[in-house]
Amino acid sequence: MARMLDEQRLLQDARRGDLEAFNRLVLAHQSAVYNVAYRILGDPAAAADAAQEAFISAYRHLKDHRGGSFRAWLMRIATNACYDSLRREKRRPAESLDDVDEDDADRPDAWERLADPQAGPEREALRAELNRALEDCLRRLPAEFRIAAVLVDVEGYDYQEAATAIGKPVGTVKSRVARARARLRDCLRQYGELLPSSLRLSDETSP
Amino acid sequence: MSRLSDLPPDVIETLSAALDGALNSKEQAGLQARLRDDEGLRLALEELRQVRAGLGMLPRLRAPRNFTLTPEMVGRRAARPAYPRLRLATALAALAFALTFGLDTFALRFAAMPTALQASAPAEGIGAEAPPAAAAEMMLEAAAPAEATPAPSAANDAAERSAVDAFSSATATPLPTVDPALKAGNVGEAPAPEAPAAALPAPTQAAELEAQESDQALADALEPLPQEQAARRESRWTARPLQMMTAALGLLALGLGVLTLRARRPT
Repeated sequence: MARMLDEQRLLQDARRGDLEAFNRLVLAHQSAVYNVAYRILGDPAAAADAAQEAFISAYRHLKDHRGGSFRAWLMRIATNACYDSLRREKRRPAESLDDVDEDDADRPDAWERLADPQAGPEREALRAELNRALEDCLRRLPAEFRIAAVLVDVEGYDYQEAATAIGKPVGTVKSRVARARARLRDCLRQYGELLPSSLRLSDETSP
Repeated sequence: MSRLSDLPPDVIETLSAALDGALNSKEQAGLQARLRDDEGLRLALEELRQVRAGLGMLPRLRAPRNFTLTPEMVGRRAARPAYPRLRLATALAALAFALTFGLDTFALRFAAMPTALQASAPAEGIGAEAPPAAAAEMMLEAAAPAEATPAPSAANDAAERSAVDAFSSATATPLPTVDPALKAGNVGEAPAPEAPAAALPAPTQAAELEAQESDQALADALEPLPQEQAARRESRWTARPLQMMTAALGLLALGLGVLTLRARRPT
């Protein structure tokens, strides 16, 4: 409650042009924005650019925020920035995802995994395999399904909040999340042998 | 046995929403009934649950840097503090106010000086032609303003003496000038002129006429002349814009002072 009040006060100050107040909001939300951008774009540099663009755009359009969840409003701007980035990427063809030999050491989540002292090496390897499989499959999803899955399943938004974030009705979000999960399931089937038994999907165990 | 990929989209959507707790009680009851009878549907639900759990296990990433904004990023210069500028403006306005106020005061005094000169010049003119009592009165006014209160009695004395002098001049001597003692303001101490005792009762009518003339001259001298009135009006007209400017600058300095104090207050 105190955090909400504090956020409202910072928002009021930021609307009056107080950049320091807005920067406090940036520090509070930058991790969530960057995570969403990274999961949508799949590239740390592009995600950082999109996050920065999102915060700049949010500051310039603060007067358009008329109450409601600031996080959802901010995430809507972030997803729009990601859409813009994806459009730019389409105009500038990159390497095929299948041909990319990713270096785990360059990925920020790999760094975090290595920094976790509780994880044993075997379990850590299994988690890494699963994460890589999920990220690959996420990237192959159409952008609208990917964004819905990231917001609801990765970031834990409810349907209403995700609907606000992407500017679509709740029914659309519900449908997109279901289709994203089904497609991810189909995609993960090819990784069946790599997945840990506890997470291995039923198709690989059924005849 | 149903497979997830074989299920129609609406069934997949219902299963997915069930995982998120987004079904109403009726939909939930209908799904429970179907799950009891359809093992393939239970399998599909489990597949969706595993995908959902897998996505939820993706690690949180640390932002590679801070995304805080600088004034340049949002296309505006850093706001300069208003206090120093307001303070300077207040000081300038106060200085301008002081200058115009001083100028205004000087202009008023300057406008009053010609009036005094004009008032003294006709008095001298009158003194040349008017009876000595009126001239003496004007001289007294000019020479000793602090002794304005005793002046009327002195004027009366002088008028009586001028009547005596007029009588004596009618007999023998030319029109006497003002007594030096009167010029010096020592009217009360001035010795009475010696008049012949035999001549006193005779010329009363002439003396009365002379006294009336001297009274008229005194009244004329006391009344402001048209030139003086015009000069006063003129000085009023020339002073008004300056006064207005002084007032405007005073208000400006006051307003800026209030703004400066507000800007100085920490936010």
